[in-house]
Amino acid sequence: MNKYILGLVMLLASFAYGQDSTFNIKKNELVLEVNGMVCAMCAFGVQEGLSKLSFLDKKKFKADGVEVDLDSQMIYIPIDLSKKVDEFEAMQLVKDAGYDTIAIYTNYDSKGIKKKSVPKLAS
Amino acid sequence: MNIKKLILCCLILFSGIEAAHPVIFKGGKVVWLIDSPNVTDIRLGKTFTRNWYSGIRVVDHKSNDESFVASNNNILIKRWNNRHYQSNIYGLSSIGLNLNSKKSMYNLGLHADWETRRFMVMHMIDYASYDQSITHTARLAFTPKIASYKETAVWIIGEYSNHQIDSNNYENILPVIRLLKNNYLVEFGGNGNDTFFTFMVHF
Repeated sequence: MNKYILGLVMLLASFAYGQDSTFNIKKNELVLEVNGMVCAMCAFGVQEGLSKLSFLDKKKFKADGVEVDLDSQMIYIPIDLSKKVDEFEAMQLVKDAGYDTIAIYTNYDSKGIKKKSVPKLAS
Repeated sequence: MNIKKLILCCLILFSGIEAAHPVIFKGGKVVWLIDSPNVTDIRLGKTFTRNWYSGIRVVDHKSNDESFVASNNNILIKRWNNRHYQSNIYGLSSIGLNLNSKKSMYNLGLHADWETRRFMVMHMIDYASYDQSITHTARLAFTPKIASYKETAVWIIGEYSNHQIDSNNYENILPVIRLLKNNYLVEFGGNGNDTFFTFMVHF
């Protein structure tokens, strides 16, 4: 009986994990998952900071620069692949805005969604 | 103006009620106006690092024709970021001058908050040198509808303040409505004795 319960829990957990990993990352996007982004006025600082990114594709979201989703705590950053992409630079700008990056997802040249390890930033 | 009304005025004036975070994002600038029938308080400032805000503050005390100018410096002492909440401890300070009496004054304070997308709790303690008073301000807030990033958020806030001067306590409870959209914040508060309006923009 315990095996069945354990199996059911693992099955449900796999569904939950699957939901997290199927969010939509479009071609040429860098997505940062951040902790603590609970208020729109505070998240404005992230948007302002990331709009200065050296490799941002400014055409996609126009004046906004990036897209902020408070529900999923994700920041969608369209990138210009003709420039050097430095995820560390984006993470630093998120930190300057007061938040912590906990996951990095990329989809460069439609090569598929990759989850990258988060490098440690200087405090 | 009677002494109680003057003290309630000072609660708004000098306790430095922080409508939003006292330190915002690195490079972020703030313009902040608080207006009430007795007081106009204008603040301009910039967050120079992610832990340090500096700015100036001009206060016009309309009812007794006194004006103050002060320099504000706030520091973010500690922040906890979690998936569903953010929590902060700030140190607050200001040093200034009464433009009429030319007397100097200073404030020292601590501000702590915890917020989710639905609820917010804030407590602040502040010491003011001009009357050697200690003020406690607490806010409990909730939003009936969690707004997305681009939507207007409406918050309902209950604010309690306690001004301890000499051996007397002056208490005040103020209901406040807050509207937030993008980088703009507007608040209206009133309880029959006091009313105030706040406008703030980050850029």
